Amino acid sequence: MKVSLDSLSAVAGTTAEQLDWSRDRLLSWAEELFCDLFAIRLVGPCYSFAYVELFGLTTILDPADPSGYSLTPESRIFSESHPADLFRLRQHVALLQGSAGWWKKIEAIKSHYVDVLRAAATIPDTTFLFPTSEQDPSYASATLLGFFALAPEVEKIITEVAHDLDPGITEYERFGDLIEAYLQRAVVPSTVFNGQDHWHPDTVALLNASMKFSLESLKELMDGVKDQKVLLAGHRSKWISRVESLTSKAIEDHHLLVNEEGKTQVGSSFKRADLRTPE
Amino acid sequence: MAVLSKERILERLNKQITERDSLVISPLLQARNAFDSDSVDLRLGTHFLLPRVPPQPYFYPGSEASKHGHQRIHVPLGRYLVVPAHETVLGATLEFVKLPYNVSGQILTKSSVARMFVVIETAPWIHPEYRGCLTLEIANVSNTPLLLYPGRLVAQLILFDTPDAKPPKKQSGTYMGPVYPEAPKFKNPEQELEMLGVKNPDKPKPKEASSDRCPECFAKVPPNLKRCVFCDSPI
Repeated sequence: MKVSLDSLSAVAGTTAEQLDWSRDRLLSWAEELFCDLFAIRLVGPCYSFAYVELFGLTTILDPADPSGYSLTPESRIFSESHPADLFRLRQHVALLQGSAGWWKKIEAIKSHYVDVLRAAATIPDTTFLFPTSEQDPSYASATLLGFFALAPEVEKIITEVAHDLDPGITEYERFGDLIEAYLQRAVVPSTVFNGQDHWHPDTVALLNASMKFSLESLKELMDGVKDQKVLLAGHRSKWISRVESLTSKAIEDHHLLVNEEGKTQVGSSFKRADLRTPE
Repeated sequence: MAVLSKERILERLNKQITERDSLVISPLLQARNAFDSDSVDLRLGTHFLLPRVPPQPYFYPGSEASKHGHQRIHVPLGRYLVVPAHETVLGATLEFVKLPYNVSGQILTKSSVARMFVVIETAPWIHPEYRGCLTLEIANVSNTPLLLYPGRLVAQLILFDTPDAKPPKKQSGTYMGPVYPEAPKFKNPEQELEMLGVKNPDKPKPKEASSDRCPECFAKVPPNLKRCVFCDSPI
């Protein structure tokens, strides 16, 4: 932050009020970015996919353009309180690429949402704009440049504060396919059986496997149900909601199941006592 | 058709989800005590649908019934829901159940609960391949208000082998995979009766909208208000 403000104060004619204004912008943007990146460290890439969905960022995809995307004006613009949607997404991807193998898992997902993440990763700083009526455009641009220098520091702080936080990828690798097999049959995946033991997958594995299933395999669930057409938005929406409710039920169940008597903890995973063994 | 013993139930629970004859019951809490020799105990879930008083002096079983007939509420573990004497509520089991293609089920009120004059289930049959938290039609038929605690044991699930059943190619989606209690889904009576050759069945004349009730949530509201004090809908 200090480096960014020092560079702004070096601009000839910068007033104390302007520096205060820049400090407010940098703090607001950094706070938003910190929250995004911290959420990704907590719950994994499902946060970025949810972000793409919430802000309708699939609209940037454009097969006619050689790059595969053409930016919508609103996705490039910083507001006074929030960084541009695509800037935030680009920083998500940077964190995911740098952390514990999530990016490899994401790239294997067959979905246009992944194309949005790939596109976001390639967007240069010069794409982003910060139109404001509060300052001279050149000073606003200088503030934006200051933030570009600050953003990697936010990522570093996240890496430091969350260095001993399990990113959850091991559990996802272990149970992701099994969770999807349950969802494909419209069954709550709070207890999954791998042929030997009954496991209770954790929240990160549940959220990310469920997101992957929604993006990639909803058709397999709908194909097993009478009179459901994958191409009808109403039908898809109904089953996406159902997958969401199955997932949230599994998360609620998880908190009860890991406190059960007789459960065993193996690494970060919990399994149920084998009920066939003598008491 | 034979009742599945505890051993046969465990055998089904220990099959992989890809096997059509697998059984799922989750969360199976205090699992060692959950089984009787021929049944599994089930607990009350945390979501409820409270029936609303309809604006008409009757309940019309048509396609609109599921949309406005109930208010959804969540009662967390450790809290309770009061069911007044002679009133009803829709609840659901805490456990999600997936039956195999060749097993039917029946859900019964636990005897200790029944002795308080509480009926937990009045549509107790569960078809093969059903999957979901079981909706419970809870009726307090006693003369005393009753406290319902989510998480407590309320029902018993009995499973029956149906050896001649064939796995269906596709599931019916009407009630597939619910995790909350589900409101009834009806066709309009005229649609169903038309198939029997009945034209224009009797229908009660619509009553003038009652001015003292909200048209959205049917709550009684004081006169001369422009918005409902309960749901903020325009009156």
